[in-house]
Amino acid sequence: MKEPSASPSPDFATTRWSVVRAAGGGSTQASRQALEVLCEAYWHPLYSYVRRQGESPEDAADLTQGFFARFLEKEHLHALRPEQGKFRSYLLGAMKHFLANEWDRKRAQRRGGGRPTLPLDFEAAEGRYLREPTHDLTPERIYERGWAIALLDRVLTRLRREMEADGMLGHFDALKFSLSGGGGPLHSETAARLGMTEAAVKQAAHRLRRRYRELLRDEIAHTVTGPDEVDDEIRCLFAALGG
Amino acid sequence: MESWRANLEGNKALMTDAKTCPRCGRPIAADAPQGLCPTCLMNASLAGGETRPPSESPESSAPDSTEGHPPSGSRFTPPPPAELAAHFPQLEILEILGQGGMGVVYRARQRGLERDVALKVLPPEVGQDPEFADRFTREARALARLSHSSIVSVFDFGRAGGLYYFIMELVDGPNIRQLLKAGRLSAREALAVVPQICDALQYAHEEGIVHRDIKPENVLIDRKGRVKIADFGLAKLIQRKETDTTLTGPRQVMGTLHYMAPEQLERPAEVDHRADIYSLGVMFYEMLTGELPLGRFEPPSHRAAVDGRLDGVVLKSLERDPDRRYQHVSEVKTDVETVTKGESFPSAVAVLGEKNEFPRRFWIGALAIAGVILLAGLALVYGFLWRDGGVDGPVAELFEARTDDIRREHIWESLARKGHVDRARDVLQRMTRARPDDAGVWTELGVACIRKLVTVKSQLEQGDLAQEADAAFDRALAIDGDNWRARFYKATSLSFWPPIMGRQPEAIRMLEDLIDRQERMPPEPQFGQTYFFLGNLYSQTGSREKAQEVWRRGRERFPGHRDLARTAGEGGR
Repeated sequence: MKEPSASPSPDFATTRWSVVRAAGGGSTQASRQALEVLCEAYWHPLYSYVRRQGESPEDAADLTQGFFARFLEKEHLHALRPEQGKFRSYLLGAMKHFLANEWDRKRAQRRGGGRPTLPLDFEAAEGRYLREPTHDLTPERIYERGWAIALLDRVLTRLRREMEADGMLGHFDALKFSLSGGGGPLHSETAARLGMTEAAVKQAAHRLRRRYRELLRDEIAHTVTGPDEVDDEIRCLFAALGG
Repeated sequence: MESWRANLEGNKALMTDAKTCPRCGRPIAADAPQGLCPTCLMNASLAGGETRPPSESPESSAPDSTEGHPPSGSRFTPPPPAELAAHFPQLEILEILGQGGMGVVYRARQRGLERDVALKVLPPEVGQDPEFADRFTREARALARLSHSSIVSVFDFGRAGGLYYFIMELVDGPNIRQLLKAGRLSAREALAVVPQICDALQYAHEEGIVHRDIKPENVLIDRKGRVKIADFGLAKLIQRKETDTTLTGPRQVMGTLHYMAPEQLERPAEVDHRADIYSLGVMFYEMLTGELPLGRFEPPSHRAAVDGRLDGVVLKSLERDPDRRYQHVSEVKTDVETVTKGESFPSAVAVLGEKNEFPRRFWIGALAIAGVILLAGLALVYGFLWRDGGVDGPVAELFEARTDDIRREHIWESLARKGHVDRARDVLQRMTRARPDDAGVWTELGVACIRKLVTVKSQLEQGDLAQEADAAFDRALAIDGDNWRARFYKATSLSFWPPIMGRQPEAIRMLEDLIDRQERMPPEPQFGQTYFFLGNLYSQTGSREKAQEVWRRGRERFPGHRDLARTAGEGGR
């Protein structure tokens, strides 16, 4: 497992959203790439939002694809203003704007027709949408909640891959419950299964939690503009999950 | 059926795979990352991670619990859907449908089956009776055995989170009480409903079950026009004493009293199935006349335009002495059908002619003046109306003097159910040619176009219909600027339909203007919709604060409005 880095907070100059915004009116290779990564990471919640607005799966897929096609075009970076804050809010705002103005575009044009498109798996998104416990949530709430889930998913996947690369996948699967406060196998059980002492298991769990926290804050940092926003964003996402 | 055996409170072993988080107790949703509780995961990432941060905006958990007084005199504050969800992992609890003395009903969806059901939760006081549990199981089993197309099915029952519950068939439609409030049921409709009730009651009686609480609130009509009777046997189960005002408010007890047979009040131990016949009689009377048979009441035909032969049926059902009443519900049905056989209902021509403001002279004059073409046109209209039995009645009813907007909506819904919207639109188009200065006709034509628009897939056709509707409403408003219905529909159609999405600013202006006018009029329940739509528009166009503000005003003025109530949960973020 990677040791926690010396400086706990990432260098904000290089976080993706900062890079995008730094490019301002123009766009650089770096900013385009950063934006693409961000969009690929968080398009699910947008799809859910559009679905919740009452669109059929086909129409929602069209609209989402069409939105990203436009969004990734150069001219749209002009619209970025310094006070736009978090990527999460900006993305939803852009989608709302898109829906309000672009609705009367012909379907055929939406399908891309030469514009670059992101490889988005809409079938998976639809399956995911259907699994979401919606309990009467508004489209905005679905989006926020979906965002929080997408974020957590990315972080846990990253963490898992790190452990796998170190040959410690078994550790992750056994210890992951400690990340959310319990419910997994007892330390004694894990110790027996993995051939460690109980003390070693406890220590491993502790390190896993620390690394998880680092990765989560890192992931969030890529979508906000400064270190003080990270805690705020965590609180927002916590509330979005119904906390 | 036994697999649901659930004393969910004590027994954590459930038939579903639904898990709950051991730390916070919330159910772990199907999309949870790595199967872990997302809330706790997020919590763990905060500095320290041990204490919970205060949420940004306190969520109002239940609109009712924050109010000073519980609704309608009942002390039972219904748990909000989110709270109930923990006790019913096999259901997705969607919304509260209603509340009465017998408990609260929610709309829910059964996971996996993807079927919408009704979840009825009984008031907690019932559990205080130590024998209740036994009675509940016995009665519930008996009810679950009832299988009839006119009786609301019971799928499941049990106890969860300290509350007794039923999971039942969800009936998507109004109850008779709602229909009565909206405008008297026509005699024809009442006569269609009663035989179905008789069938259901006869079946139940043969199974040895007496309803004991037949009243308009318990008889529902689903989308296909079928009767569904709810709450069978619950009255006995809960055994409310008529003088007991602690379980229910005094007003609710009074309401039920009117439908109770005399022996239910005087000699409850001697009550048998004939009590249901009495209650049916009361309901029948009310459906026909709009009034309750109180004291020395007049026969139905004296109070309403009803066939005199029905008087005998109603009066025999209302006999105070059970021995002089009908002895079997099936006899009621037989007698009613004897009366209705061979009845021809009035043609639309006659109905329209009666309600028509234009004197007969006008029609003759028009024929004479317009000549052959008009003659042919009118003949077409009348011929069309005459032949089409399914549309003429309802369309005529749209213009009946006493019809209000809710009733008109019901009529449109029933036309849509039968697939008659196109024909209704045809009729209305022709009526606009015959009566071009009638704002009501133009309004309903516009509504017809909107109704059709909902069903159409092609955007091109949607656009055409929207334009036609728009023009019709404009025409109506030019004739009668105060026609609220035309104004509302025009404004909401602008905001609602994709083909005209680009006209949002116009829609916003219209709705703002409409609210302005509405606030100067005495409030009608349907006005709440205007606030809801305007808020949505603001929200869509990025004016978040305005949306919150207009929704807040709407909730203030129309606290019962469902859509508006839901907007309360969305905190600013």
